[in-house]
Amino acid sequence: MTQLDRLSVYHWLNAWCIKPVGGALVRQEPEYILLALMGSPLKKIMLCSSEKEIFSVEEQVMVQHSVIINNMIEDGSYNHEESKIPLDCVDSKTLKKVIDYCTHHTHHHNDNQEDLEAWDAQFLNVDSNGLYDLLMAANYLEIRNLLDLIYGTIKNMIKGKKIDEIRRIFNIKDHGFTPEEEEQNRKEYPHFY
Amino acid sequence: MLRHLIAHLHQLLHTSSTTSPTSPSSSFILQSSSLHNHPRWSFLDIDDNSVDDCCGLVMAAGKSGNLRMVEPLKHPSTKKPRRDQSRGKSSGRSSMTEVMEQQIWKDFPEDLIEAVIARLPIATFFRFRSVCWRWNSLLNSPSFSQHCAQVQHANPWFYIITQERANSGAMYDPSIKKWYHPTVSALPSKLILFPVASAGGLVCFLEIGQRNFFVCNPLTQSFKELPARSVKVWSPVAVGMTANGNLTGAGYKILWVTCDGEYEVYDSMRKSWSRPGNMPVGIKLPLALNFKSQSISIDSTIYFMHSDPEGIVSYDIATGVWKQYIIPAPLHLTDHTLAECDGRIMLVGLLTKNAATCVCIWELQKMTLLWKEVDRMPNEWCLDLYGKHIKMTCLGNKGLLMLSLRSKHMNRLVTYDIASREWLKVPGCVAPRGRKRQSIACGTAFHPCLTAVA
Repeated sequence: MTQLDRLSVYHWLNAWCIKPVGGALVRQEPEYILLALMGSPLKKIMLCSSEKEIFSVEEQVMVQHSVIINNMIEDGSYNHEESKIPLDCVDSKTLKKVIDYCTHHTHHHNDNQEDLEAWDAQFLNVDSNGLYDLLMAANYLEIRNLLDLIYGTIKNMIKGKKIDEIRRIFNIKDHGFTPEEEEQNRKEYPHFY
Repeated sequence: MLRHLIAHLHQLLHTSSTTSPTSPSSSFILQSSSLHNHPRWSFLDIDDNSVDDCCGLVMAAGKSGNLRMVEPLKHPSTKKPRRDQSRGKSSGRSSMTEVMEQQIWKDFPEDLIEAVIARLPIATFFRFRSVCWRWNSLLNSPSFSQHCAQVQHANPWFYIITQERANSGAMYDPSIKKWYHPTVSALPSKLILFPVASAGGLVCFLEIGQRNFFVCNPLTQSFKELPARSVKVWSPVAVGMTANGNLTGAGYKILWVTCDGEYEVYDSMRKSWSRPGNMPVGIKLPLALNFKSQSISIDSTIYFMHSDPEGIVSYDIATGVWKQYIIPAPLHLTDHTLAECDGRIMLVGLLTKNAATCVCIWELQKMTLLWKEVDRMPNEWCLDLYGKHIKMTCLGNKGLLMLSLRSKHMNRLVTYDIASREWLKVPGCVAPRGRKRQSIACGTAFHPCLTAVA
């Protein structure tokens, strides 16, 4: 095969989502193959952050993860040729991270559990501000597995803290518990304390 | 002194035969051949003004002149992320060191806080009830209930009754290997109650006289005494329980059946017992039900084991249909119990041949209706059972099995995870302020659900 031929084959394969990896042909999702066979190339959608920055991402990736985007596309309110999906409560930095997460999990969902968990741990290695923004974005877009992941992280952050500390963090001012009532609580389930 | 150490290091580096560092002069990577096996690397910055940074660094010479690098206090960027004990869904953030700023978290939406609280360890949840009145009333909140339903608990807990204190129980959390001994038992303490079945986070108890049923959430200790059965039955009963759905509040059903084919179903939504019919003629009565084996439930079907002939009877609570499967039992089998994992029907029992005893696990092959051995207890542990007259009790048969192995001088508890095929030892159940390991009479596994209400 000439150099030119090989290049065109590569482009052709890429368009139909069958990636050559290390000399072998690695299949992507069956849905991709089906899409390819149906004759439509990989559909992309446009997401617009609050800072008016536009991100182009594969439709399948977002549809698989975000209930909101899936609903928008299914009920036809999203027009592929013209419109972009405005996400006014998600800034560019967070949107990029969310897209990263969805893309990785779509393309790597056949990986083994340990690798995925290690990637997730690395993904969430952000500061508190970033974590909070990610949580809000995942909640808005209704991305179940990302939400579960972030909930788990926050749970680990608070589980060892003292009660006063919890009240301070979440700004709970009038907690309404007298020391006697707190003691009463403790007596109700002493084995858990 | 530190500078001496660093100079020593320099020397070692230059005399080593591995590749020379190509990084800029202000930092170098330690690549002594003796450190090849060490999982942690660290960038050592040896600029004069950063000597103070290295103060936390201690180097100890190991055997045969190998240098062992002990982890420095700083330089976090090149450390491998530490694996969390809970097997890593978290980013390894420790709650001790993480300072959470009020600025960021003060406007945390209520709904999302509930989702986080639903995922807390059970003991932590009870501790955090005192944070404020809202958190205290979460157990009664329907939205919190929904969040709890979405949380997948990896392992069931176990509720057991000991022989020494038959009127109060203990709970075991296998994920942190901890026993809890509720000192205030909400169940009437004059009665002796045996846990016989569980579903949807609730445990069904049968009073020792086999007259009354109680249903209880062992975590919150909320309980309910069921109305009396419509038929006075004096023969022993086998009991099964199913949950009507995933959500708490969806209700549950309890089935009891006797060897003569009498049975009744309790519907928690209707709060009454009913007799849907008779056993089909094809099932030969009396049934020799195996009362030592607990029932299992998969979707809406409950399965009981029987002998003579060996096999399983099943009752589908949704359709009211009884079915019988004749399945030959493995040879030399004693103390066997049904178990289930992800819809697969398993059997666990003691296999004794020529004084050698082993705990074995079988899976039911649905096409051939035969038991196929899929696992056995590790040999080292089986050796401890050699020549002894062992009695095995199964204390939980949903996904994670807890087995009590007892002989005259042995009292051992192990768990077996059917999915991961892992055998683990269980710390002995010791009463608070006591020292002796207690003997477990019976028990059942249950899925911990804070908001399940009897």
